[in-house]
Amino acid sequence: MKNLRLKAARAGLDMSQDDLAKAVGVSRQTISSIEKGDYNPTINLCINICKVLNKTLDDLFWETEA
Amino acid sequence: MNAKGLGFVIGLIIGLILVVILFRFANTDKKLKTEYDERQEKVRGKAYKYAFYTALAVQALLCTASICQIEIPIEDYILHFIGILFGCLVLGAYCIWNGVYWGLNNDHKRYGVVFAVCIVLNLIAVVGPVMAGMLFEKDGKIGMPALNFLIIFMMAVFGIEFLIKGAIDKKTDADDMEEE
Repeated sequence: MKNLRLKAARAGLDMSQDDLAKAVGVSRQTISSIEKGDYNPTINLCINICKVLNKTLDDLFWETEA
Repeated sequence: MNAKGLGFVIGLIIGLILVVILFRFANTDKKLKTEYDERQEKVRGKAYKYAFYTALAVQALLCTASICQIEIPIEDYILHFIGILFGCLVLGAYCIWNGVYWGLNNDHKRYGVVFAVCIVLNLIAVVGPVMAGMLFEKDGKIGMPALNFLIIFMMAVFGIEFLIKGAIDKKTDADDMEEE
């Protein structure tokens, strides 16, 4: 399942996938895979992403019913 | 140890030293070890598994050929490398296709230089004996140049795969940008 909230939060800060990848210390392809829903990140990576994007885990990674 | 064996061992040691120097040169932080993120480590784990199975299968095939006395026109000491090389081929090909070939601290341009040097050295090692008519050893089998040829073949496969994967990624990225 695509993670559109992550994509929106990143775009909201005017960051490219590459910018976010560098900020959290992973490859651009890894960010792309998370956004596409191809890869489930570990809790550590989720926390790092949330810190960079100033969001909570619920905001970006908690599944909603819709 | 005979002269040929001694030459081979010295060549291997020099090769190992060169690899250490080249890796340090090609990594942005000058470290020997390439760093990978968690997804890359996971995918590479699968790649190593497939590479291991491939090496096993090739070695089993070569062993079967030997038992069945099927003559392969390549020297025995080179046959030992074939399983390893096919394993490396599967490892590299799988990693390239899944976007985990490059580590976080790899300098792509410097790696390009390293690959180019590697291809040229192996080409010289193949073309030289062919030009001198020394491709075949006394028993009519191909010796060292077979190994160099296999390395060139592997590099060519990687190069073609990089081009195809690069084109696919470019298209996917363009589609993503349009969505944004």
